[in-house]
Amino acid sequence: MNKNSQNRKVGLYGEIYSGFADFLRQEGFEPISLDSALSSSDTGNGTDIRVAVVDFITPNALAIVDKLITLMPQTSRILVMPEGETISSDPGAFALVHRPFTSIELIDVIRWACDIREVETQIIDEKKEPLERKQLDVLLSDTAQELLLNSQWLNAIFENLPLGLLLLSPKGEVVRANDVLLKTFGLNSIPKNAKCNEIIPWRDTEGDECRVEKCLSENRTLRDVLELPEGRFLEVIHIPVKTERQVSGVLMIVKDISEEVCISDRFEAAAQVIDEGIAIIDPELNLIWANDVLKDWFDIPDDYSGRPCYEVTRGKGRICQGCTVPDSFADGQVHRSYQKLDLSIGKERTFEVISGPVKNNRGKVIRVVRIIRDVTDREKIIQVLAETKDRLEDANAQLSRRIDELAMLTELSEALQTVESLDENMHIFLTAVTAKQGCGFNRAFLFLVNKENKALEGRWAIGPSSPEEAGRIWRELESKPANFAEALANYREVLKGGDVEVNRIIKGLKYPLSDNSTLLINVLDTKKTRIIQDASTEPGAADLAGKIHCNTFAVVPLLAMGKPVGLVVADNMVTGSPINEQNLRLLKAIASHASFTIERSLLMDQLSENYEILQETYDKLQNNQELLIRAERFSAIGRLAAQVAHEIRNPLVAIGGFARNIAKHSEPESDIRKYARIICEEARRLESILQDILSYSSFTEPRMKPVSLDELLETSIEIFREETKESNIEVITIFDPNIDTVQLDPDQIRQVFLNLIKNAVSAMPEGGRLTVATRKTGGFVWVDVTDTGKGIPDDVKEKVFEPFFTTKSSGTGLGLSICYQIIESHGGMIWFTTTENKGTTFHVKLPSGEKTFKEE
Amino acid sequence: MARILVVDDEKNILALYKEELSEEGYEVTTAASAKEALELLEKDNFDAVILDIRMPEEDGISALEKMMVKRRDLPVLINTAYSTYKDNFLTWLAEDYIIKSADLSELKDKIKHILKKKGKA
Repeated sequence: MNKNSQNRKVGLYGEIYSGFADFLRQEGFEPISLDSALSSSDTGNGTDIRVAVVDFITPNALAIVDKLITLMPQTSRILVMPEGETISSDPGAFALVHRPFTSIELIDVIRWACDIREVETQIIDEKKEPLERKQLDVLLSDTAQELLLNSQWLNAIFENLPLGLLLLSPKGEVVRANDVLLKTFGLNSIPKNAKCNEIIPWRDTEGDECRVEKCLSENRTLRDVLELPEGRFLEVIHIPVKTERQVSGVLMIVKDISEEVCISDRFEAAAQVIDEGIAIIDPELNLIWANDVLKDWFDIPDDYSGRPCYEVTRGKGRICQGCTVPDSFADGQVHRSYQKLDLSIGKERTFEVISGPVKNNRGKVIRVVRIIRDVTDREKIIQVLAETKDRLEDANAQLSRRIDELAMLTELSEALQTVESLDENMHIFLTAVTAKQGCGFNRAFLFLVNKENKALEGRWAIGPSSPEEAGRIWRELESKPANFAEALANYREVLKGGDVEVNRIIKGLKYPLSDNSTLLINVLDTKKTRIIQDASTEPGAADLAGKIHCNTFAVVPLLAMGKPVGLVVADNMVTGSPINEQNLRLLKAIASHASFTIERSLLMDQLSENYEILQETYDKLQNNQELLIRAERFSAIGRLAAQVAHEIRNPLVAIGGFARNIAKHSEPESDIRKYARIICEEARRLESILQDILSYSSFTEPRMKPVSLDELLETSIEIFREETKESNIEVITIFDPNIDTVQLDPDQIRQVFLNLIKNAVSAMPEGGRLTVATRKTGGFVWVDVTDTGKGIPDDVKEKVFEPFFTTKSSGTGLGLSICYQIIESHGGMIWFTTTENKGTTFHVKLPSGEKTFKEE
Repeated sequence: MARILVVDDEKNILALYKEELSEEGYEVTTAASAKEALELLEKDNFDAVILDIRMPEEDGISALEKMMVKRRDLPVLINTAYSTYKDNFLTWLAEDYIIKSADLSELKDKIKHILKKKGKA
C-alpha cells in the first residue's frame, strides 16, 4: 500500500506534457512522457504508471490510446478532448476532460484517478477476490465521471458567480481566487502564499482584528462593508469552511454594493422631493420613516421613529378606521383607498392612500410602504371632465338630432314649394307630422278657420284607422328606409285609401269660433301649443277626444300673419307612445312651415281676387275715360253750337223772313222776287246746317245751386191746380220740416216733378188722390209722388224709362227717360212701385248736397 | 181780331213777325224783354204769346213759368233758336214749341191751330 501510495506516476502524451509537467511536480506527482514510456514498454518500464493523460489535439492520439489499452491495461486513461468532441472507441477511459479546463480541474481529476486506483488495489488485496476486470472498470469509470462532473460544476460556480470569491487557509494565506475578485481589486494574479490583508485594503481601524481568525475562532459568518477610497462600497463576508474533523479554511465573498448603496441614497432623495407623502411602517404599525412631505402634512414630531403611526400622524390612541396597512401585512397585496382629510394644507382634501407591502426573501411582509397622494385637484378635474364629457355628449346628441330635424325640415320645405295647391301642401304637411322621418305621430288632423261660417272646420287627416292597418303601413314603410322626400312618395302610395276612417272623422268636426269653452277654439284664441295628457280632466276637450277616440294628443295652432288660421291635432292612438317635448318641438317647426304655406295660399287667393277687382276697375276707368273724353268733346261742341245757333239763327231768321216778305210782295217773275227767293233758299240751307249742328248739343250738365225743395214742389203742384180741380183729384203734401235747401239744378229738377205730377194727374181722369211726400235720411232727400190710378201694367214696367216709349197718343215719349237722365246726373236715383188698379208711386232719391255737394 | 204778343230781344225779329202776322190779320204787340211782356200781360188780355227763350236779363223759361202761374190757360208758343229747350219740361207747359225759322208758315199754322183750339180764331 505504501508502495502504491507512493506511486504517483502520471503519463502525459502530446503537447500537454511540456505545459503541465512542472505543475504536476508542484502538486507532488511524477510526470512521465508517454512517448518514451510506450517505446520501452517491452522492458516493463511503464507498467507502473497510474494515470495516462492523452491530449487529443496531438496527432496519433487514437493510436496511443490503443497501445495503452493493450500494453498498460491497469493504467487509468484520462482523455483530453477538444470542446464538444467525444470518442466512442475507448469506453473504458477513466474520464474525458473537455477543453477549456483549468489546471486545477485536471489536477483534481488526476488526483481522484490515483486515489481510486489505490482503493481498487486495497480491495483486491483485502478480499483476495479480485473483481472481474470489466466490472471494476465500469464501477471506477462511473465514480470518476461523477466526481469529475462535481468538480467541473464547482469550478464553474467558483469562476462564474458574479461575486468575488477567495479561498483562504486557516492562516490567512490565499489558496485560490476567482477572476471577479481579481477584477474587483484590479489585480492580474495573486502571488503564491500571499496574505489576504495584502490584497484587501482594510482601513486601519477595521484591520485591527484579523477577520479570518475571528471567523474561525467564533465559527460564524462575518459581514463587513468596506468603503473604498474611490467611493465604492464592498460587502465582505467571511464564511468558515470546515470538513468533518478540522477547519480547512475560510471562504471570503466580496460583493460590489456601490450601486445598491447609491440606489438607497437615491430612493431617499427621491422620496424627499416628490409631492407625495411616504411612510414606512413596521408590523406593529410603528412609523419607521416618513418623508418631509408627510411630516409637513401631518405635523409629525421629530422623534416619530418607532412610535405608532396613528399616534404621530393623527394624535389617536388606536388604529384609524379603514386603515389598509394591516390588510397589506395580512395578504401581501397593494391596497388603495381614498380618504377625505382635514390637514394643515387645507380642509376636505381628497387623498389617495396606497399601502404597498415590502417582503423579505421568504415572502413575508416585513414593512408596508404607505404612499399618500393629494388628489383633490385631480378629482376635481376628473369630475369637471366627466361633467364636461356628459355635457358634450348631450350637446352632440342634441346637435345630431337638430341636424336630422333640419334636414327633414329642408326637405319638407322643398316638397312644399314644389306643389301649388293648398290641398296637396296640407297633405305633405300631415305626412311630415306622421312620417317616421318626421315627427312620427300616428295620426294628424288639420283644422282650418272658415271665416264665412265663423267656424273651425276639420279639413284633412292622415293616419291608420285601426291597429292592424297601422301595422301594415308601418311595416311597409319600415321596409323602405328613405329620406324624407322618398318617404313622402312612399307614404302617399301606402296610405292610398287607408285613411278613409280618419277622413270621415275629420269631416265631422266643426266648432263655432264664438264658443271658446272648447279646447280647440281656446288654443286658437290663445295661440298657444298644448299637450293634452288626459282629455277627461281637460275642460272643453271631451268632445274632440270622443270623436278621435284618443285621450292624449297635441294641439298646435297655425298662424298666418300673426292670426290663427287653423290648427293641427296629432296623436299616438295606435302605439300609445307618450308625446314628448321633442316631438312637440318638431311638430311646431313643421307647423310653422305649414303656416307659411297657408299664408302664402291665402295671400295668393287675396291677390288674385284683388287683381280681378283691379282689372275690372281698370276696365271701367278706361271706359269712363273714353266716355268722359267724348262727353267733354260733345259738350264743348254743344255749347259752341248753341252759341253759334243763337248768334246766327236770329239774324238768319230776320234775313230769311224779310227775303220771303220781299218775295211775297214783289212782282211775280221779277228779278227782285227771283233774288229774294235765292236769299230764302240760302237762308233755309244755312238753317238746315244749323239744325245739324244743334242736334249735337244734347243734354246739358246740371247747374247746381241751393234750392228750397218745398217751394219747388209747391209751385209745380200749383201749375196743375186747374187740372186737379177739374179731375176731382185730392192733393196732399207731406213735407219733412228738416229739409231746408237742396243742391240741385232747379230748372232740371222742376221738369222732373212737373213730369211726374203731370203723369200722376193724367193717370186719374176719374179722380183720386195725389200725394207728394218728402223725407230726409243721411245725406239724401226722398220725394215720393203717389197716385191712386190704374197702375202700370206688367208688360210696360221695364220700358217706362226708355226713351221714345209712350202709352199716350200724343207726346214724345221722352218724359221719363229725361227724368231718369236728370236724376242720374244729379247723383240720385228714380224708380217706381206700382199695383194694378191701386196706383203708382215714383220714388226720387237725391243727395242733399249739404256737405258733399258743391256748386260748380 | 185775335191779339198776339210776340216776345223777343231781337228787334229785327220782332219787326219781321209783326209784319208777317199782321198780314195774317192778327193784332200784334211786341215786347223786347220778358219783363216788358209780363207787364203787357198784366195790362192787356192776349189770345196767344209767341215767346223767345234765350234773352238777356230774364229768360223765356222764367217768363213762361210766371205766365203759367198767372194764366195757366194762356197759349204760349215757344219760338227759339235752340232746340235744346225742347228738353226742358217747363217748355212743355207751353202750348207748343217751334224752332225759329225764316219760313214762318209753320208758325202761322200753329198760331191758327192754337187760336182755333181755344175758340178764338
